[in-house]
Amino acid sequence: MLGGFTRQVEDQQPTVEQRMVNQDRLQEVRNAITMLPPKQRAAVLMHKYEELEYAQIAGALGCSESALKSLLFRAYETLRSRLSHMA
Amino acid sequence: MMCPTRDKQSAEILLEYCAGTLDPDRALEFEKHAAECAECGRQVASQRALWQTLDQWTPAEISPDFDARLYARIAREEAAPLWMKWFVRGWKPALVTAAAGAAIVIALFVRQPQPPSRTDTVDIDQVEHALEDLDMLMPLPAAGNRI
Repeated sequence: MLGGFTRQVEDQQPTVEQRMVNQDRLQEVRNAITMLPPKQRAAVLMHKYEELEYAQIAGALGCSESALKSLLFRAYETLRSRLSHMA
Repeated sequence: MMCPTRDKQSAEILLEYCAGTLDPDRALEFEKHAAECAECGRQVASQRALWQTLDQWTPAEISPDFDARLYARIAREEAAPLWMKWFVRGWKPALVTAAAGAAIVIALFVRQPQPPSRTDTVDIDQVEHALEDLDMLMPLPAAGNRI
Protein backbone atom coordinates (compact mmCIF):
# COMPACT_ATOMS: atom_id res chain seq x y z
CA MET A 1 0.00 0.00 0.00
CA LEU A 2 1.49 3.33 -1.09
CA GLY A 3 -0.11 6.54 0.15
CA GLY A 4 -3.51 4.90 0.50
CA PHE A 5 -3.33 3.29 -2.94
CA THR A 6 -3.65 -0.46 -3.06
CA ARG A 7 -2.74 -2.28 -6.20
CA GLN A 8 -4.53 -5.56 -6.76
CA VAL A 9 -2.86 -8.15 -8.93
CA GLU A 10 -4.82 -10.97 -10.47
CA ASP A 11 -3.74 -14.46 -9.49
CA GLN A 12 -2.65 -16.22 -12.68
CA GLN A 13 -2.90 -19.68 -11.15
CA PRO A 14 -5.99 -21.73 -12.08
CA THR A 15 -8.56 -21.91 -9.34
CA VAL A 16 -9.32 -25.13 -7.53
CA GLU A 17 -12.54 -25.37 -9.52
CA GLN A 18 -10.70 -24.94 -12.85
CA ARG A 19 -8.16 -27.54 -11.84
CA MET A 20 -10.91 -30.00 -10.96
CA VAL A 21 -12.66 -29.39 -14.30
CA ASN A 22 -9.36 -29.92 -16.15
CA GLN A 23 -8.71 -33.11 -14.22
CA ASP A 24 -12.18 -34.29 -15.08
CA ARG A 25 -11.65 -33.60 -18.79
CA LEU A 26 -8.30 -35.39 -18.76
CA GLN A 27 -9.91 -38.37 -17.07
CA GLU A 28 -12.65 -38.47 -19.72
CA VAL A 29 -10.10 -38.47 -22.56
CA ARG A 30 -8.10 -41.13 -20.82
CA ASN A 31 -11.16 -43.30 -20.22
CA ALA A 32 -12.30 -42.93 -23.83
CA ILE A 33 -8.91 -44.17 -25.04
CA THR A 34 -8.75 -46.93 -22.43
CA MET A 35 -12.15 -48.26 -23.49
CA LEU A 36 -11.04 -48.80 -27.10
CA PRO A 37 -10.31 -52.39 -28.14
CA PRO A 38 -6.62 -53.20 -27.41
CA LYS A 39 -5.42 -53.04 -31.02
CA GLN A 40 -7.20 -49.75 -31.72
CA ARG A 41 -5.91 -48.31 -28.45
CA ALA A 42 -2.33 -49.25 -29.27
CA ALA A 43 -2.72 -47.82 -32.78
CA VAL A 44 -4.07 -44.50 -31.48
CA LEU A 45 -1.34 -44.18 -28.86
CA MET A 46 1.38 -44.85 -31.40
CA HIS A 47 -0.18 -42.66 -34.10
CA LYS A 48 -1.40 -39.69 -32.09
CA TYR A 49 0.96 -39.57 -29.16
CA GLU A 50 4.14 -41.32 -30.28
CA GLU A 51 3.78 -39.91 -33.81
CA LEU A 52 5.16 -43.06 -35.39
CA GLU A 53 4.97 -43.72 -39.13
CA TYR A 54 2.19 -45.91 -40.47
CA ALA A 55 4.74 -48.53 -41.51
CA GLN A 56 6.21 -48.66 -38.01
CA ILE A 57 2.81 -49.00 -36.35
CA ALA A 58 1.70 -51.62 -38.86
CA GLY A 59 4.91 -53.56 -38.17
CA ALA A 60 4.38 -53.39 -34.41
CA LEU A 61 0.76 -54.52 -34.68
CA GLY A 62 1.41 -57.14 -37.33
CA CYS A 63 -1.00 -55.82 -39.94
CA SER A 64 -0.86 -54.10 -43.33
CA GLU A 65 -0.76 -50.32 -43.61
CA SER A 66 -4.14 -50.34 -45.28
CA ALA A 67 -5.64 -52.37 -42.42
CA LEU A 68 -3.98 -50.02 -39.93
CA LYS A 69 -5.53 -46.95 -41.55
CA SER A 70 -8.92 -48.57 -41.47
CA LEU A 71 -8.33 -49.48 -37.80
CA LEU A 72 -7.32 -45.91 -36.97
CA PHE A 73 -10.30 -44.49 -38.84
CA ARG A 74 -12.67 -46.65 -36.78
CA ALA A 75 -10.86 -45.78 -33.54
CA TYR A 76 -11.08 -42.04 -34.20
CA GLU A 77 -14.73 -42.36 -35.14
CA THR A 78 -15.41 -44.05 -31.81
CA LEU A 79 -13.44 -41.38 -29.96
CA ARG A 80 -15.29 -38.64 -31.83
CA SER A 81 -18.63 -39.98 -30.71
CA ARG A 82 -17.44 -40.54 -27.13
CA LEU A 83 -15.84 -37.14 -26.77
CA SER A 84 -18.17 -35.07 -28.95
CA HIS A 85 -19.53 -33.22 -25.89
CA MET A 86 -16.05 -31.94 -25.08
CA ALA A 87 -15.30 -30.34 -28.45
CA MET B 1 -11.45 -36.80 -56.47
CA MET B 2 -13.55 -39.50 -54.82
CA CYS B 3 -15.29 -38.25 -51.67
CA PRO B 4 -13.61 -39.86 -48.63
CA THR B 5 -16.92 -40.12 -46.79
CA ARG B 6 -18.36 -42.30 -49.57
CA ASP B 7 -15.33 -44.40 -50.39
CA LYS B 8 -13.70 -46.52 -47.70
CA GLN B 9 -10.43 -46.60 -49.63
CA SER B 10 -10.29 -42.81 -49.68
CA ALA B 11 -11.13 -42.51 -46.00
CA GLU B 12 -7.42 -42.65 -45.21
CA ILE B 13 -7.02 -39.30 -47.01
CA LEU B 14 -9.22 -37.71 -44.40
CA LEU B 15 -7.21 -39.36 -41.64
CA GLU B 16 -3.86 -38.32 -43.06
CA TYR B 17 -5.05 -34.80 -43.85
CA CYS B 18 -6.19 -34.25 -40.26
CA ALA B 19 -2.96 -35.76 -38.94
CA GLY B 20 -0.98 -33.45 -41.22
CA THR B 21 0.75 -36.37 -42.91
CA LEU B 22 -0.89 -36.08 -46.33
CA ASP B 23 1.52 -35.00 -49.05
CA PRO B 24 1.04 -31.35 -50.12
CA ASP B 25 -0.37 -32.07 -53.58
CA ARG B 26 -3.03 -34.42 -52.30
CA ALA B 27 -3.73 -32.09 -49.36
CA LEU B 28 -4.41 -29.23 -51.79
CA GLU B 29 -6.69 -31.45 -53.84
CA PHE B 30 -8.55 -32.52 -50.73
CA GLU B 31 -8.92 -28.94 -49.51
CA LYS B 32 -10.57 -28.02 -52.83
CA HIS B 33 -12.92 -30.94 -52.44
CA ALA B 34 -13.67 -30.19 -48.75
CA ALA B 35 -14.53 -26.59 -49.64
CA GLU B 36 -17.37 -27.87 -51.82
CA CYS B 37 -18.36 -31.03 -49.93
CA ALA B 38 -20.30 -30.24 -46.76
CA GLU B 39 -19.89 -33.74 -45.36
CA CYS B 40 -16.09 -33.68 -45.74
CA GLY B 41 -15.96 -30.18 -44.26
CA ARG B 42 -17.94 -31.42 -41.28
CA GLN B 43 -15.68 -34.48 -40.92
CA VAL B 44 -12.54 -32.36 -40.99
CA ALA B 45 -13.94 -29.95 -38.40
CA SER B 46 -14.99 -32.76 -36.11
CA GLN B 47 -11.66 -34.60 -36.52
CA ARG B 48 -9.74 -31.40 -35.73
CA ALA B 49 -11.89 -30.86 -32.65
CA LEU B 50 -11.13 -34.43 -31.57
CA TRP B 51 -7.43 -33.81 -32.17
CA GLN B 52 -7.54 -30.79 -29.86
CA THR B 53 -9.43 -32.76 -27.24
CA LEU B 54 -6.88 -35.57 -27.40
CA ASP B 55 -4.07 -33.03 -27.06
CA GLN B 56 -5.30 -32.21 -23.56
CA TRP B 57 -4.04 -35.56 -22.35
CA THR B 58 -0.55 -36.92 -22.65
CA PRO B 59 0.27 -40.49 -21.71
CA ALA B 60 2.86 -40.97 -18.99
CA GLU B 61 6.33 -40.91 -20.48
CA ILE B 62 8.70 -43.75 -19.88
CA SER B 63 12.37 -43.12 -19.28
CA PRO B 64 14.68 -43.32 -22.32
CA ASP B 65 16.54 -46.34 -20.93
CA PHE B 66 13.36 -48.23 -20.03
CA ASP B 67 13.75 -50.89 -22.73
CA ALA B 68 17.41 -51.48 -21.88
CA ARG B 69 16.62 -51.89 -18.17
CA LEU B 70 13.66 -54.16 -18.92
CA TYR B 71 15.69 -56.50 -21.13
CA ALA B 72 18.56 -56.51 -18.62
CA ARG B 73 16.17 -57.49 -15.85
CA ILE B 74 14.64 -60.28 -17.95
CA ALA B 75 18.14 -61.58 -18.74
CA ARG B 76 19.11 -61.46 -15.03
CA GLU B 77 16.03 -63.39 -13.98
CA GLU B 78 16.49 -65.99 -16.69
CA ALA B 79 20.10 -66.53 -15.60
CA ALA B 80 19.23 -66.81 -11.90
CA PRO B 81 19.46 -70.25 -10.20
CA LEU B 82 16.24 -72.27 -9.86
CA TRP B 83 15.94 -71.85 -6.06
CA MET B 84 16.15 -68.08 -6.42
CA LYS B 85 13.41 -68.09 -9.07
CA TRP B 86 11.22 -70.11 -6.72
CA PHE B 87 12.00 -67.75 -3.85
CA VAL B 88 11.26 -64.64 -5.93
CA ARG B 89 7.99 -66.03 -7.29
CA GLY B 90 6.95 -68.18 -4.32
CA TRP B 91 7.42 -66.04 -1.21
CA LYS B 92 4.26 -63.99 -1.68
CA PRO B 93 1.80 -66.93 -1.74
CA ALA B 94 3.71 -68.51 1.18
CA LEU B 95 3.43 -65.29 3.17
CA VAL B 96 -0.29 -65.00 2.46
CA THR B 97 -0.85 -68.61 3.53
CA ALA B 98 1.13 -68.10 6.74
CA ALA B 99 -0.80 -64.91 7.55
CA ALA B 100 -4.14 -66.67 6.97
CA GLY B 101 -3.06 -69.57 9.22
CA ALA B 102 -1.95 -67.19 11.96
CA ALA B 103 -5.29 -65.36 11.78
CA ILE B 104 -7.21 -68.65 12.18
CA VAL B 105 -5.06 -69.71 15.16
CA ILE B 106 -5.57 -66.35 16.84
CA ALA B 107 -9.32 -66.50 16.21
CA LEU B 108 -9.51 -70.01 17.72
CA PHE B 109 -7.34 -69.54 20.81
CA VAL B 110 -7.68 -65.93 21.84
CA ARG B 111 -11.02 -65.28 23.48
CA GLN B 112 -12.75 -61.97 23.19
CA PRO B 113 -13.22 -60.08 26.52
CA GLN B 114 -16.65 -60.99 27.83
CA PRO B 115 -19.13 -58.27 28.77
CA PRO B 116 -19.99 -58.15 32.45
CA SER B 117 -22.45 -60.91 33.23
CA ARG B 118 -25.98 -60.30 34.33
CA THR B 119 -25.38 -62.13 37.62
CA ASP B 120 -22.77 -59.52 38.74
CA THR B 121 -25.25 -56.65 38.56
CA VAL B 122 -27.98 -58.69 40.19
CA ASP B 123 -25.64 -59.44 43.09
CA ILE B 124 -24.92 -55.75 43.67
CA ASP B 125 -28.63 -54.97 43.67
CA GLN B 126 -29.23 -57.75 46.10
CA VAL B 127 -26.54 -56.43 48.42
CA GLU B 128 -28.07 -52.94 48.34
CA HIS B 129 -31.49 -54.30 49.15
CA ALA B 130 -30.04 -56.37 51.97
CA LEU B 131 -28.36 -53.30 53.48
CA GLU B 132 -31.62 -51.33 53.31
CA ASP B 133 -33.42 -54.19 54.97
CA LEU B 134 -30.81 -54.24 57.70
CA ASP B 135 -31.37 -50.52 58.33
CA MET B 136 -35.07 -51.14 58.68
CA LEU B 137 -34.45 -53.95 61.15
CA MET B 138 -32.27 -51.80 63.38
CA PRO B 139 -34.04 -51.28 66.70
CA LEU B 140 -35.69 -47.85 67.02
CA PRO B 141 -34.20 -45.58 69.67
CA ALA B 142 -35.97 -45.64 73.04
CA ALA B 143 -38.77 -43.14 73.50
CA GLY B 144 -36.94 -41.49 76.41
CA ASN B 145 -34.00 -40.71 74.29
CA ARG B 146 -36.05 -38.60 71.89
CA ILE B 147 -35.42 -34.87 71.97
